[in-house]
Amino acid sequence: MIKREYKHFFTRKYLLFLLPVIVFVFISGYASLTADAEGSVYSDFSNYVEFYENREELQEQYDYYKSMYDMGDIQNDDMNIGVNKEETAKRLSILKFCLDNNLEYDGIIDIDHVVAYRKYTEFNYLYNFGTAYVLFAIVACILIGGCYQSADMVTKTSKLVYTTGEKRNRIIDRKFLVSLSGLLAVTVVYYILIALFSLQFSEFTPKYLLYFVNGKLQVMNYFGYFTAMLFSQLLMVVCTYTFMYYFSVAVKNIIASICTFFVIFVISLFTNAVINSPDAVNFIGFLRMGYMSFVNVTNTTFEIKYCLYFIPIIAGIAIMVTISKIISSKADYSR
Amino acid sequence: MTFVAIKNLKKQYGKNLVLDIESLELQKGRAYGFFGANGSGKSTLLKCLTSLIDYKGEIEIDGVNLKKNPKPLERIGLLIENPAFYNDLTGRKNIEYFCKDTSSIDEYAEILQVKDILDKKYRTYSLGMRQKLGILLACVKGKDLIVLDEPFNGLDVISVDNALRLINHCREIGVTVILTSHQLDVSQKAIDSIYLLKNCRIKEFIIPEKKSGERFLFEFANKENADAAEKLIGSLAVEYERTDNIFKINSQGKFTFYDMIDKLKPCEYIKAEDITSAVKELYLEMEKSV
Repeated sequence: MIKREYKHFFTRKYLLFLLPVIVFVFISGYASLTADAEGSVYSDFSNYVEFYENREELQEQYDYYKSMYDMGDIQNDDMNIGVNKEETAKRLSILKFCLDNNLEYDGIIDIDHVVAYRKYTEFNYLYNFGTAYVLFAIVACILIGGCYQSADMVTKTSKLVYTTGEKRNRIIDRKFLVSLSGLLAVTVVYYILIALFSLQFSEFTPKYLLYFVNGKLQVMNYFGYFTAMLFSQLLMVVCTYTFMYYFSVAVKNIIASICTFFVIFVISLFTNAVINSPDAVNFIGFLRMGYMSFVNVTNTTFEIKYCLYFIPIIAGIAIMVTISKIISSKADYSR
Repeated sequence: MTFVAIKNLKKQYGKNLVLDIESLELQKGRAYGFFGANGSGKSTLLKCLTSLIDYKGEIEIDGVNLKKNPKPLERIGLLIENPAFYNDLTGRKNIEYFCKDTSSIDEYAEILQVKDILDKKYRTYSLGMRQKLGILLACVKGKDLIVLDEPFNGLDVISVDNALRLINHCREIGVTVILTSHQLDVSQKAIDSIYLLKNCRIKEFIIPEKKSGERFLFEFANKENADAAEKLIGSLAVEYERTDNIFKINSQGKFTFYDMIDKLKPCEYIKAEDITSAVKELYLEMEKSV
């Protein structure tokens, strides 16, 4: 049954929806050829780390800021020198990390700089084309999720699909799992291709991506970044597709896909209202889902309230799945 | 042996009660015709039987309650209203998609004379071809029960004959057949019992002298042709009545309508009609009596 369903999923009709992925892959491949890989420096940690050529210079920097940090604020009648302890601590943690790992100046990159288009590193490349994929993933989830099951209603093949001797909900769930796994497979393949394209920058790429959460230095190597990005994307596809698919099961109409698009916006607005942050940041967070959205959005602070936006999303999905199962068990599948 | 058992079946669309069947039992290996006026609930009954719509009451197939366990549907072939298949698959692939055991596909395709179209994409099929593929799937899938709703729609006379042969073949090998049709004369060649649906209720009638004789009407353009036809009909040893150039022939089961068409072709008939009307007459009587 599963094999039959996979064969059906990978027919021309649904491959058309996946066409944008192929286009993205070609675009990303082309972009990688034209990107400027040999810019001066990537690190751009100029606020924290001054340029150094060798370990001795790095050690000097570290010692200097360590003494500043230890000295603290100096206030008397002649001078008033203020040391920003928090910032200095950040600076020290970066310098210490570089020292411990014997890193060159270009060996680290700030997470805020992965969006820079002018200088390509593996991190930049993956971020840019991973972000572009979000758009495709949303469209694919809406189109395939909206059409995959309800297309049987439109073509009236539901009469045959739902009389094969299996329970309706089992058939619906199998279709869901097959189409979702198809989308996830496409996502994984896309990311692997992007990661392979990005390897051409490996010679110039910093070893580590750095960011702070609540003032504490966090580090990721390229594989970690790739995994986190991919996982975030997969999570987003699972959530969006699940909601979309079961919504169309409940409504039994392709128009549902368009409606759901608006529903996603409503959820996003509600989310923003919950965390009292009425801007687009959290909508982007929703699109990216998962850990990477926190990292990219918050960077310097992490508050538990940022997790709240998962609640309406998860609850919404659970409610939709339950409603669709009740409706589908009573629905007329002969028309 | 009771194969299909219906108890207290009720179906409402909004406040409109469409079906109210207290009890109905169908035997294995028999063919049943469900007749009734438009909107009498024939299709609704078939949809309930195949669990396509929700209903009140109980339907048991081979002792299994369909609401609790839809497993029997695996061996029920159906053609409800218009056939619907995947456009981008061939006829064969479509049947393989919806049916687990397709061992009889080539044998049945041969009877239905659709073997040549089976490996073409469904989207290239004409209306009649689609209908034939629908009948083929119903018969291939229906190892226990075949449910056919207006199966002869859009079929030419030869195809109707082939479809009847296939349905009769399935019945002979022990499959229960349920069909609805407005083509009563055609349907009677494939059924053992008639049920009439009227005012939400159902009533069974037994066909009197089933297939005791098949009657055909042939009309010829002129006396010469009619005389030649009379000689030919006389040599076939069948009963006939002649009025001018019109013959009413009772084949007494020796020849089918299509056999007679072939035999009388040289005499250039201008009209040929199957007037075997046992079911038609019965249906009209039933309509009056119920």
